[in-house]
Amino acid sequence: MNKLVSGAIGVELFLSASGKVYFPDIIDLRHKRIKHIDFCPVTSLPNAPSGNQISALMNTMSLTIMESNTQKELIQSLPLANLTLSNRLFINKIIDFQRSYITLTGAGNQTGNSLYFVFWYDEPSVWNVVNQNTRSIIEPFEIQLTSHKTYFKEHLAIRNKQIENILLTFPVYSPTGNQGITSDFHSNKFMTLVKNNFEYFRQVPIYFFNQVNAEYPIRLQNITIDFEKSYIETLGITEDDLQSICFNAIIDDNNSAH
Amino acid sequence: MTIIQNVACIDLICNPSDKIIKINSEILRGKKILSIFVCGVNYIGPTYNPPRPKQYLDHTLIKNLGLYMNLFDMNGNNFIKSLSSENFLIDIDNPDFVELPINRVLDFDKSNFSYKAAPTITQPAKLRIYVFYQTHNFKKFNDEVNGSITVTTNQTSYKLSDLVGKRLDGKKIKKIITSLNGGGLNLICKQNLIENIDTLFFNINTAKEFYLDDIEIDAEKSTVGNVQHNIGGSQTYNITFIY
Repeated sequence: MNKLVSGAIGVELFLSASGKVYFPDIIDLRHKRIKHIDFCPVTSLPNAPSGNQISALMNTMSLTIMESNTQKELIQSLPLANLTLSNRLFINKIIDFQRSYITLTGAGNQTGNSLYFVFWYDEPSVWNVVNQNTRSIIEPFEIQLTSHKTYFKEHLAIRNKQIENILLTFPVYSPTGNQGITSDFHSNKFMTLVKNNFEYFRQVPIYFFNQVNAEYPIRLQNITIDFEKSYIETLGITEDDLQSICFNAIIDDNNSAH
Repeated sequence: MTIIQNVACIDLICNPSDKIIKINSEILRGKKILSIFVCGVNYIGPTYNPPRPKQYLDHTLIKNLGLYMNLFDMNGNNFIKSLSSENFLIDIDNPDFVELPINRVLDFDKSNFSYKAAPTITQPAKLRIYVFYQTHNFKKFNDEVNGSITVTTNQTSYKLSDLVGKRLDGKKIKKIITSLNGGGLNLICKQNLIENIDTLFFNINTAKEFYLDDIEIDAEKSTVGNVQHNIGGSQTYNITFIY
């Protein structure tokens, strides 16, 4: 079961020769409670935002996570293959990233390759109270890609609205009639959501938001988004990428008049 | 996890010239609607040359339509706008969906499906939807198993009592499990009506599986039909009723 999250940061780990590769110091995740960790396999994400290829040898790699407060290894040598969307670990701890690492066993020299993780976390500066009796509405929004970094237009219908989830789909045509991107062209795109100039969802692969196959839905803690400051980055952009990406926002409707 | 109390199986007419499909159903007026699914219906039958237009829209045709759902409640709120059907479109080959509780009484004069694509259908076709609705308070949920009844057959259309006799009498059924891929269960119950529900709903073995609201099935009045065997052969399949 997915827990409430109010932020997510994509983290690229640059691999080297075999042995241990430690996570970098992630300033925006210092002292933040991590709820879930996702690993992005090469089948879902061929390249990291740097352009590096994602290593295909995840079966030779394992994850160790150190808890910040206790300096205990919360997770010891968990095979990366076990970190799947349907088997999401609920961490709920503050992590010492610089003491957490990936172990490469028999993977050979992986220099030039990367791994990519998404850390879903609590961000108190943007979260809101969630009502027990959820009453929701669903609004569409879309972004027509024009370049490798395309900003969303303002969407009045979801401006300042508290968002519980964002659903990504690949319809042939968007609600406004634009040609929609196909699922073949979603694995090279990363979404960054901003609130008050703070990128609290940063470079999250958009495929996470296509939740048709997900065992449990993402549950955002009623976050609000400054859409005009939020954007999608596309790696290695081609003509086929310059289509519309279609979303639906599930919005908490408890406070509106009925 | 979804608990089913009542299900309406509705075939909506999709005209090529229209871009709106209204949801017409008198049985659903005034009822609290819990969920809606669009179900692709695969054609099983002779192959014609030249091909004949499909009577039902299958999964691929529905995807190519760019189908969206728009729902209005009785207060005039358009509370679901342009929700892509990919989120609630399932069929035998693609039994994946997003759980989207609706939990409102709908204004069926305004609620509709719309589509954007140039018509990929040339003649009126049918769009099958399943609407889950509530008619009374749900029973307290308990997934503890007290017993089960399994039947095995290769028949394509029959009265349920032909297989179970009176064994379902008085049993509060909370789950159905079946190996049948493609078929309709029409369950007439003491307090519930589950109309021609595709067996694929009972083939889902994930956290999104479907339970039943302790329904008491009248096997004499209930039927199994439209079983889709492989062309040229027949298959034995099981249906298990868990109480």
